[in-house]
Amino acid sequence: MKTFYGEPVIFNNVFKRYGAILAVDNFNLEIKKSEFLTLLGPSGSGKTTILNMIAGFISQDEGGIKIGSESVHNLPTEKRNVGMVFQNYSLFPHMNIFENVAFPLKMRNINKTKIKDKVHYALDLVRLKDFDLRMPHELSGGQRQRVAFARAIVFEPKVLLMDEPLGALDLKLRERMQIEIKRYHKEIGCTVIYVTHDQGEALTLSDRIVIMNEGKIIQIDNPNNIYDKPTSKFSANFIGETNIFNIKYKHHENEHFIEFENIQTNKEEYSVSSLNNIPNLEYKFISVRPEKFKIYDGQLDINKNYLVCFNLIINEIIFLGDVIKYICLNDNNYEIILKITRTDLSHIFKINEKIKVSFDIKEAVFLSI
Amino acid sequence: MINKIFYRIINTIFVAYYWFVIVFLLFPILIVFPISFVNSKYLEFPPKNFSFRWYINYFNDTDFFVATFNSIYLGLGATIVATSIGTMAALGLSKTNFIGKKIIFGFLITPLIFPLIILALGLYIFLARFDAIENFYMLIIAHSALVMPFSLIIVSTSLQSFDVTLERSARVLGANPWQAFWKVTFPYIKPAVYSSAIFGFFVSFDELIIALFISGKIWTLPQRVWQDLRYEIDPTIAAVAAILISATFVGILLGTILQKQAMRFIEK
Repeated sequence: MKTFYGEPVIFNNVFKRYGAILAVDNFNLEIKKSEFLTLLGPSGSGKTTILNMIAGFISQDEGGIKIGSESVHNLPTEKRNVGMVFQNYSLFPHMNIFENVAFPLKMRNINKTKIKDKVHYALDLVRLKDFDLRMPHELSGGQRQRVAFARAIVFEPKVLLMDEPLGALDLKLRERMQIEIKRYHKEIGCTVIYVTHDQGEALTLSDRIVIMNEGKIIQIDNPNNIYDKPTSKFSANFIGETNIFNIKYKHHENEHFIEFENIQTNKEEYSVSSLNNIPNLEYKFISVRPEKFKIYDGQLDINKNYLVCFNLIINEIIFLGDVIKYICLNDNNYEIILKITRTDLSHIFKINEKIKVSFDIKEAVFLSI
Repeated sequence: MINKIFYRIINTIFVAYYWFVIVFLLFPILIVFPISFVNSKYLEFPPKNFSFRWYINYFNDTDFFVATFNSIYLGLGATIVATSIGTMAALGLSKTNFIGKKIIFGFLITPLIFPLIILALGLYIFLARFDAIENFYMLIIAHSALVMPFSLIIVSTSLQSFDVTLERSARVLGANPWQAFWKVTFPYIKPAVYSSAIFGFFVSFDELIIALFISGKIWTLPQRVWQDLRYEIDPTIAAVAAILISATFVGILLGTILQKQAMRFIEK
């Protein structure tokens, strides 16, 4: 069996209401052919609703959904030709592994020898050769999830939907399965729409990530940009950890300046005219990732205009192995999180120790919402 | 130390009590077996001579023969009707959520809690008005109503543990709703459906009161036994009872095994 290719999925102004709650609010998205796209958001953000609309379990109230060039509005679930992997595996308990994987092929009236070939191709792909006659309840969680995956792709769907497929597995297994899923996608090349609330999973797997909240798209971008260039406080907080500072924006003497609101810094204002992208006047916050901070050791020239420097008291220390996370408070009891890599063992602090830290304003992300 | 002895005594008392209740409940049932093998013309215990004559008598009695087959047909008919309707009701109720769902469920199981004699009287008055007494089909319908709650309750219980994403899964993999039901949902509830059918059959097979009221001269086996008890007590009924008890025991055992099987796939 050769590899097969995906179809784009297009959402046009899609709305879905449950009573007074707007589960999906004007959703517009073009998922590219063969793309691995992740819908990421907290529970209740509407990501599963989107998936269920593609599968045809629920229908939208307004707007259109296309798979390829075909509008799927009047197409019943079984005619949409999409594969789906559920969180609870959803293997048929009374069928053995072969029968489970053969099910979609039988429904398509494919002849028996072909079914055998395709089922064995799919089981080989997920490294479950010779599992034909086992029953689902005899398999481990990870193995079941692989069978579910084999069953979802065995009929060569153009689009594969995955609804938190690794949610029920433990951490180690989850990480291994992420690598597996990436490999499957590479080999099969169908369009994958993946739903998760786990940001690590989203960053590892995706070509693009769609961050959702309350039925709306917050940001769409590739994993790098999602992490490095969040466009809102929500994105910045949702992906990884961050520190948000309230700022005031000023313009005088033909220069742009910012001023920090809740924190006592080494200078009153910082010129940002020298930044590559001069931030505009709407910005009210900056986001600084915990790993962007440096411990002030007297070597840095704090008079440089782009270096923001301030005092902190360590309130809590969380040992993460390769890094140490310090949860600190400033003079106004404003919480700031630092992550210090342990390559430099000279900086080991204790609780309640006073430290001085700095960050480069050129590495901060300016946000308006 | 004293505590230990105290608990041992309590324990012994409870075990003794347990066996007393078991024997008390089972003795009247089991005593039928020796009596059915007596050689005398009367019911006697303990039996003095052993014989099969009352069994032979049962198999040679046309009245009993006809009554037995009436009961079997009635049981089968009622079971088929009740199991189909009960299963469909269970499916319908499990898939929907509306106000009054519990009321409908309660209403459907009333034949189980309603005093049988009142139900029988009501049926009698109702059917008499339409001149439908002594009608075998009416008897089947009446018994169906009586048996249906068993299917509804047993199948509903099995559906409670049924994961609806299984059906969704079947749909997205290419099965239409009809196929999804027969290939995925039905195999899951099948043991429950069959075991409820077995229980239902025996409920109908053993039922006397409704039959007495509305069956007229179409005698069922319990009715024939009842007739015997009233006019001429001879050990044939002991033989019939022994056969009935054995058949019921085997049937219920089968039903229980099927129900155990239904639990087989459910994860711990």
